[in-house]
Amino acid sequence: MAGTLFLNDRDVTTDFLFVVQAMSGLPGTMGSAPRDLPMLDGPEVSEAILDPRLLRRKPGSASVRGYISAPSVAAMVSALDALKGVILGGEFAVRSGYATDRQCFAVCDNAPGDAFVGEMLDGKVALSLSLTIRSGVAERLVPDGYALSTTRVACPQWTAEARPVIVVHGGGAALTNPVVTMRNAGGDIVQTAGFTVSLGANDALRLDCARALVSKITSGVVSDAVAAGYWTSGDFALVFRPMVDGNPEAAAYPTLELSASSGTPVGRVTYTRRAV
Amino acid sequence: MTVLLPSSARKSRYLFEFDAARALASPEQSLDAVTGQLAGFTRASVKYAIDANGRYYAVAYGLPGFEWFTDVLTGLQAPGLMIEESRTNLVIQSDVCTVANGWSVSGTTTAAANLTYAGRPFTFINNANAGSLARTIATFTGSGQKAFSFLLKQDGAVAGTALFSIGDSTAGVTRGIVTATISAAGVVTAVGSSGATVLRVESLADGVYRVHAYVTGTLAANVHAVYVANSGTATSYLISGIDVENGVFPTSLIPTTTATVTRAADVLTYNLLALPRAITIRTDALCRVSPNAATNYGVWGLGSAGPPYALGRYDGTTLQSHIQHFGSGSLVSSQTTTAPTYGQRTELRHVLRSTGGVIAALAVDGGAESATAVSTAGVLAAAWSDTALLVGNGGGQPATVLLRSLRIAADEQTLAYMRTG
Repeated sequence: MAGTLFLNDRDVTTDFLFVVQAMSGLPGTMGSAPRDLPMLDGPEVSEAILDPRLLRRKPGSASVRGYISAPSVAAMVSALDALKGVILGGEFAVRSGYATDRQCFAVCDNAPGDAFVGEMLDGKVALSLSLTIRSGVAERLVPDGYALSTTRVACPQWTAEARPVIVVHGGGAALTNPVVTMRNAGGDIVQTAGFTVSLGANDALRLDCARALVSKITSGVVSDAVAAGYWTSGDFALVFRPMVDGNPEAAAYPTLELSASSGTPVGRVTYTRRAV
Repeated sequence: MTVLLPSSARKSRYLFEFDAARALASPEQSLDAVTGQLAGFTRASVKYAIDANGRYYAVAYGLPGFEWFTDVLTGLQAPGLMIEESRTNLVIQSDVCTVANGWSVSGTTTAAANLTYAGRPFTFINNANAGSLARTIATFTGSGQKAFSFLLKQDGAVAGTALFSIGDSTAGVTRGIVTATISAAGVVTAVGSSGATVLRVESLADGVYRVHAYVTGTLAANVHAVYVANSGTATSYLISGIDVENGVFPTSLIPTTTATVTRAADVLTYNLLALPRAITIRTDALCRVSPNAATNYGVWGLGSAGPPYALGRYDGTTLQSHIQHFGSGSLVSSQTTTAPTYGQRTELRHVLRSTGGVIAALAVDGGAESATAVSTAGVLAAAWSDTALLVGNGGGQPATVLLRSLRIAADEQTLAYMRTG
């Protein structure tokens, strides 16, 4: 497949081609990619609820064989030099030509020089890369963002858990004791988070579910220190579990909705889709 | 496979880097701490933005408004930071145009719709083709050109035209008519006449369309009426978001109820701490201004307390990239020959060189860049008077843009570097 190589100090765009043989840990149409990535590296638990934030994914691996094509020896030297500079210099982002809206992070395990065969035939140089996928999941390149109200809104997911950031407010009016409700694709309530707080017309509540952080925003000014105590009922932080609460392949997704003791709650949810 | 550099290495090369579409749980996080320095954002009001589904949502007071758009380069729904000037919707009861809400209705019936569409409440207009009329009186606070916009949705499978207009009741003349045509499939198109010009028709969720237009020749001393049903051929349709603003093009939706509503300006501030000897500022944004020869549209301003300072702008006549560097008593300016149209993705690159000269450059929709020659030298040592770079407050009339990213480098850099470095 064709690709583009971006560099720090130089922008080298050339006709280098990769043939991906296998890349575990990447989703979608990666052909024969094995799905044997060990999923958990956390504490052993028995008959207990495990906090998902304690889970760590083991790295996957990828073997990539391919070739770089270039119109001249000089261009080839430049392309090889650029590629070496990137992949042997530390962690880098990898995107697949088959799923261009996602990326994961990897390091190259080849010793310097081993990855490249220095013979140029028919304008091509072969190479073989051994990558360790550090992130274990692929993330969407851009975040999703959806309006929230008292009616349910579906939150499209990929196959891995995602932790949203939710902003709730009264839309320019006061709001008291907002509640965020998550339902599965079947409409059953699976998580709620209730907050005992009075929000003025210029106030908002921000729920960062990745950090388990509740922030009250008063006239645009964030006040974290006093906000944690506002969470008084239900489950927090909210976590999208797409394979449990829906079925991404069938476009069946969990939903979010808002309610409050008084006032009309509105807001927005944002998150980055992730896939194993 | 595309191999990219580690993000940490990219970011470290800039004084400041903001990328609204960065893969984070929330785009607000991309405003801060990317390079270890913080951006400031203010807006003293609520505003309305469009989410990834094409539905409106309210953005809380003081928080940055992110609107999702289809990136022409990636095809993905990506967020952009809304940068707009302050505007006031002069029409009260903008969404529910009923007699109970003070609208005058004859020959037709209007009622609040049962459902919301694209996140907004609507008015159901019935018998709209039978010599009908639904209007409200608006008090205009200035003469001349007025931005005019509204939301329109098909009722069932009803096709035909719907007429929206602004009339001068005192002078007994029409200031502009927008004729919207609803196809059998529900697609809305629109044309202007009698002083009205349609800028664009925007497709939203639930079959809702927003028509962006303006009218001319209004007089503040006169009484004006805004008509939302004026004997078109469609028997029924749904409307909302009736919006008249002092401006040459509409901005984001400003709903009203019992009084006019003012949406405050968005201002993104970045403190450079120590001014470099040279600087490159690249703003990657969707251009949401329409040309107006009387006005330049400032994208950023450096040094807000008066000359000496520097401004990066769209030229008002053609939207070309324009930079002015007000040195100590000397002015140098530079302008490209490329011009974008409304809604195109523009990459403005403005360079202030160590010699005091300036370069303005512009690329449209990811294409090749057009750049000016280096201008005559100014006096860089006094190029600006403070270290605050303000986006959305550049030089008088701020531009309306959807900011995709902002990168500032402490040296002279090419567009290729600013795109990928």
